[in-house]
Amino acid sequence: MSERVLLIDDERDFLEVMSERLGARGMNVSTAESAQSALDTIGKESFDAVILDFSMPEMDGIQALKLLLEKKPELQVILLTGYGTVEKSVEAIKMGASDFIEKPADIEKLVDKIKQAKSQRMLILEKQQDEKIQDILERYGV
Amino acid sequence: MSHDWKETAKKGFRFSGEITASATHEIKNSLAVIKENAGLLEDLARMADKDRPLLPEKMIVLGQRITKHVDQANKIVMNINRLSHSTDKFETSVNVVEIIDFLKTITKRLINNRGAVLHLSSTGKEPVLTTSPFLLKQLVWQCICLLMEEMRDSKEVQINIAGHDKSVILFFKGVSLSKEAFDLFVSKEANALRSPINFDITRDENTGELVLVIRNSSF
Repeated sequence: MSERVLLIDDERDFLEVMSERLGARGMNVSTAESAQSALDTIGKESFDAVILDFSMPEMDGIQALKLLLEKKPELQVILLTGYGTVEKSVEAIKMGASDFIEKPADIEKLVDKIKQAKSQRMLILEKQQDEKIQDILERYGV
Repeated sequence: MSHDWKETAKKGFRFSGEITASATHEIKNSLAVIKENAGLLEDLARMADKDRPLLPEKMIVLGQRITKHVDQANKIVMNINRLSHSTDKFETSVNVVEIIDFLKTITKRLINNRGAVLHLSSTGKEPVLTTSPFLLKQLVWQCICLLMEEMRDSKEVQINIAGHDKSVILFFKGVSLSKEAFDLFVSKEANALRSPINFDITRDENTGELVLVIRNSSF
């Protein structure tokens, strides 16, 4: 099944071309031009990976990451970072981002990271499901 | 008391650094779009080998997008070059409206990132002074930063520039400052430029708004 990806960047031209390139690699891509719009979108749809531009107007990457993970803790967020943001990237990983890649990114590296993010998400969801099953089994003494 | 040039230099480096970091980030965004469009051209050429024809309209759109972002990056490079050259002469005759309009352009992203909006207007005589163009930008930017930190409900700052015979007055409208915030700003930030730029800075007691009076340099 194709990977479902949400791209968040305030640059519309970047969103258009990246959607097309990832789409050509079999991915199903949605876009958001702001963190707020992304928050609305993740409330309605599920994604295997979220690609988040670290520096956007109105809300910085750390703040946006925090809100996204508060809403959906299992989200796999890959940060697109700029120059001199290594410290912030490390901070973001500590906060729960799954990975980061420098912009302009190599498309094949980004595709690999999206696939890794999907595998990671599947593991988390499977673990959550196992815990639920275990809980039901214990509750009903099966 | 002698002027603390070390402090002036530190603040000047910080100003240059902040503007350069913002500009390079914007250039990088344009480069990312250019790179992805070049990559898409390559993708499409590879797909054309597999019986998916190259559409001329598509090629035109990609070419236009690349040109647009080359132009955007070029404008940013030109602005950084212009800012760098404003240190060529320590003092020169400057039009304050032009200086602040340029400052508005090069700090647009930094201002947008804080959710703020900056407006300019001018009245009176042509606001021309002999001063340091680089340090004047730095001083006005420090004032704008202070106001952005102190903004509450409204996110708009209006700078009214009034030209007089030997001075130019800048009225920063829209943000009311507390006396404490103003006093701290004067002692920690503005005083570092007191000697190289001939200015006075006050806080309107009724509105709390900032007023900056710049005179011909007596340096």
